[in-house]
Amino acid sequence: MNTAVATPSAPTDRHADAIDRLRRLLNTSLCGKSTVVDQVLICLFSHGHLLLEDKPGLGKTTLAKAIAKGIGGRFARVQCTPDLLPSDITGFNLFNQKTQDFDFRPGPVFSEVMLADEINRATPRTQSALLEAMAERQVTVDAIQHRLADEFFVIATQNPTEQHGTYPLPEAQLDRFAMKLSIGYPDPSAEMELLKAARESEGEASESDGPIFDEGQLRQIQNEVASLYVDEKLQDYLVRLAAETRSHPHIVLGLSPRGMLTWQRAAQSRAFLNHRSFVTPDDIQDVAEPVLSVRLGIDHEDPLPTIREILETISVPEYTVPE
Amino acid sequence: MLPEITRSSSPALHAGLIALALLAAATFTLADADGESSALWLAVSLLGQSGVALVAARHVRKLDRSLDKAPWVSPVLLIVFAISLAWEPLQRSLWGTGRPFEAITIFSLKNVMLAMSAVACWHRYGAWTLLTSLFVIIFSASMASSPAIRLMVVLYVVGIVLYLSVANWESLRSRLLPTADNARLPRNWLIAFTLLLVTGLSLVSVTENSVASAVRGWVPSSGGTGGSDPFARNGVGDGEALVAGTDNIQSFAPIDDAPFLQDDKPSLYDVMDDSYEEPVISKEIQRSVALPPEFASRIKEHAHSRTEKASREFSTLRKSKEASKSKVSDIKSTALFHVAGRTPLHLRMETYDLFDGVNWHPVPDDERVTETRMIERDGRHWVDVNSTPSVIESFWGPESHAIKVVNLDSNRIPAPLHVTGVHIDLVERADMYDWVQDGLICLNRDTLPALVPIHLTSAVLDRQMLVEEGYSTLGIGEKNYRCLPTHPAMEQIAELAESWVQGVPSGWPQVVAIESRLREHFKHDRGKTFSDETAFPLQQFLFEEQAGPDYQFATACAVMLRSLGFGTRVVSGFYVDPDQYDQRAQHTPVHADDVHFWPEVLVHAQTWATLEPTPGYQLRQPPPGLIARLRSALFTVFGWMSRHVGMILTGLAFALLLFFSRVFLLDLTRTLHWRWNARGDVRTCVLSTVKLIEWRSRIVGNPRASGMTLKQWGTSPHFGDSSLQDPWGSFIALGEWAAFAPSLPCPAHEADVREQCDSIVRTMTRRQLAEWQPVRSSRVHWLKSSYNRILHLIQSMSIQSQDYTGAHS
Repeated sequence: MNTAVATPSAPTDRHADAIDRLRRLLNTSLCGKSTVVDQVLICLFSHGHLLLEDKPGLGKTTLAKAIAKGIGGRFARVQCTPDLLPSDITGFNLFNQKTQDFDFRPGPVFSEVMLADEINRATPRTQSALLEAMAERQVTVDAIQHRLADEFFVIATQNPTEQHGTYPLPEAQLDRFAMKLSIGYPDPSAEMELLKAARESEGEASESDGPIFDEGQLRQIQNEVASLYVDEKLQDYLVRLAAETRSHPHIVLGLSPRGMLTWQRAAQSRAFLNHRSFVTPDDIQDVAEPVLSVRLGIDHEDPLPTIREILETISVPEYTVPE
Repeated sequence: MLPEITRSSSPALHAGLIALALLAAATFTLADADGESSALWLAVSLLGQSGVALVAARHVRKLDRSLDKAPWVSPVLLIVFAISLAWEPLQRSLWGTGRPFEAITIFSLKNVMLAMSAVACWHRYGAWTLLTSLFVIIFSASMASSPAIRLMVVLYVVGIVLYLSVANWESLRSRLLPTADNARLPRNWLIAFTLLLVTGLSLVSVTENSVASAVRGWVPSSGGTGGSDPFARNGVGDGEALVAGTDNIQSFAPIDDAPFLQDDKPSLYDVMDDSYEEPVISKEIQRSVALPPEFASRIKEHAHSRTEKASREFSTLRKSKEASKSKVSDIKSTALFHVAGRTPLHLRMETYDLFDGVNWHPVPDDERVTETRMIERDGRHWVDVNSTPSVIESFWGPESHAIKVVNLDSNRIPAPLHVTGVHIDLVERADMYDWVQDGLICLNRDTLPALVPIHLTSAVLDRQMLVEEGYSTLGIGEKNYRCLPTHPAMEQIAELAESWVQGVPSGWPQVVAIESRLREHFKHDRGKTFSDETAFPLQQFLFEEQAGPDYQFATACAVMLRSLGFGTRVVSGFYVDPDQYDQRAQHTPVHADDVHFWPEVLVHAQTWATLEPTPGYQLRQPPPGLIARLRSALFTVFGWMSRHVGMILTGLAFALLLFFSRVFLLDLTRTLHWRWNARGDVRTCVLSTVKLIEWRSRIVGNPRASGMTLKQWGTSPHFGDSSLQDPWGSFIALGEWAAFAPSLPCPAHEADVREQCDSIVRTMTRRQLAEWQPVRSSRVHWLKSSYNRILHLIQSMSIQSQDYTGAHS
């Protein structure tokens, strides 16, 4: 047996250290949820927004705060209620008696990481104001445009839709999110660890550490992810998968071109996280569930079997010499 | 209906379409050349058109990726058509060669078809290519019928069936089965079916051996069964469609008004002398000729009637020198005449009734029937030869034969016994024919016309039915058929005959007993002659030599039957030997060697039966029924097998060896192929390693599903503990790099990568992979999965129909 084993080396390891630290930080905040943490990172690096569909108390706020701390940005939180107005999110102009002029009071969207809790309890009007801000990365108040931060990252949470007093997000709005995740309950051993850690860290200054990322580093990573190589065969694979979602009998609303772009970006992001400078079919398949479940109109309760079925039906590109 | 071929038709389907189009084009090119173009020119044009089509197809496929929708191709097709048309005047002026109009049109259509096949990735043109190729191949098949063309048509048929089933399957797969993972194309079955079909059809259509000919005989329209079908197409050279040929004697072909050729051809008697040596005039002939006085006078008369005519006419009509272009001597055939129809056959030329111990004397010309009568059957004029109305019903028929004379100088028509009709095209007058003897007809001219088909219909006496009817014949017939020479040895011969039929019931069984005794216990020796001193050759043949030529057999049989009281006669003529059958021309030539003597026995007042006491000659029997034929085919097969036991066992052993070691051999071939590929680019080396391992794994029951990535597959429990461990784990990463990162350099040293590939191929053998399989695939498992597949198919189809009905309601 030979000992010389060749492995494809990591493409760019400049950010490896920072990413590892961020991952550790998130892992300590969300005990025993390393898969979710990885997907959150994929979403973050692919410059998309995240929708969490979960019950209260599972660590959504902790996660958002940890991300904000990690990337060194401001953190804002909006608790969505039916009486929440768009201006409560975007900000508003206040007449300044001294200057005899309107001063702009920026809303929570003017932060790096924003948590919109229970977004489906807000009225559709407020929802669309927020979603527009997410898509355009700018808000317009009284005909004046205000740019948001480049790193602007929204984590929205959503209650299960059957509950009273909710306004379910329309599919077109859902497309603005890159992924939908569910954190779920930790397993018993992780819960034990959580309890232990909570007792030990009581009283310690949790914000003792500074931000992990340098200024602009996140933007840099996002740019690198966007330019990561995707082979033509894999793009063809994506196109075939998208076509299948559009013709599948159980899917009412297929994948939009925007959704396809998001999917490719998420796959690039996953490849980046795995220290690869090219995308593989595994990247595409791995991010398919969170990317597709947020935007496909599937007439089943649980979209996952349909998504898996599509992945199994469409053949992955041949492992042949690229042309 | 054509299956819909999606716009992005798979490369395999497109390639199949191009192959079909090229096959059709090649068939047309071959048929168009008709054996006149040189092989070089043929090869150049075949390679040229294939090359242009393939290059164009490749180019179009590349173009397809950059285009949003199918472009306008019709102008290009029109230009191709116009250029093809314009080629013809150019060709005529440059080389002086040309094509007929229909060939020009099809030539242009063929070129358009090739152009369409190149752009067939757009589904509209795919369907049109298919249709046009079908038209071109049908046209080509009707233009020529050489074995090569037949083979190509067969290949095309097989190809199109395969293409349609694959296309249909693909469209089913994409439409009906959302989870088509289970529904793989039954490739093995398709391949096996194709091989079987190709072998069978090419065997039948191309080979000239008797197996193929026998298979052809089962086709009702081939004429091989003796049946006649008014809608049959393949009847040229056979049956009523039989016509004469002037250029090639083998053709028996397309005109029925071939010139009556004249030449110095041998008569029946010349042929007999050539075959049996000159007759000997015995010195003691006076002693042995001992015929009753009433017959002795007739023989004298016969001798007188042979005087030549003294005066001859002078004709004022003289032949021009150019007129006689075609002469019989130009024909390169050694045959006297050719016979189309079922063989064996005894064709009668002369009958003899009186035997004086040495000589047989011919039956005098028939006085009873003075006039021949013409009747019309199926719009043709036939001579009605129902001269011997029979009361017994043991006949089968009528059966038709055709005779084409080449070298025979006789005006008698060689015909089988029980001939019922004679027809020569355009010869409609009854006075052109004349009677010779019972059932023997001649033409009222010096010789039979050469190369003109003479059609005959005849009935066959079913000997089996004679036995069943218990037919007894004793003491019937005119005296001359029962007359025996008065020779002292005759008593001895009569005793011998009595001893041979001892215990045999009288009648037909006795005839059969004498005949079969001669066949079984005497030896046929054509060259044997008896010395001049022999007064009574028959005695010497029967008691001393027990071997001799066929006329001795005939004589012995006839004389012995006469001694038992049967009416017999001896017939000379020709034996049409089934072994001489020419399968290509589908007729049997008759040579001078085929001159033959045989006896006939009277089974009823006017009904004669042919006997064949000479070993090696067969009698014509009514064709066997289906069961009899099957039985004889079975016997033939078993007979052949028993004669070739060694060969069969060796072949079987070899085939079994091949079958059971097929996986090993395939593995060996693939590994060698891998080794060859691995010498190239490092990327190719990695990917061919992936392919090899995938194949080995599939063989042991762990195929990579189409929706599965290499990593998912490689890390499954089917790979045992090695999942994601080195070197397999890092090799998967290498495979991903090789397949999906064309611009990135090799992540490790090339030598290391090659060594790693080598180690993977050496360690991940089939045996190793099989050991890792959690569940061995068994036949039960296979059955179960097939059952599940069918269930799944039905289920998804019912879901589909529910959806549709739901949508409609």
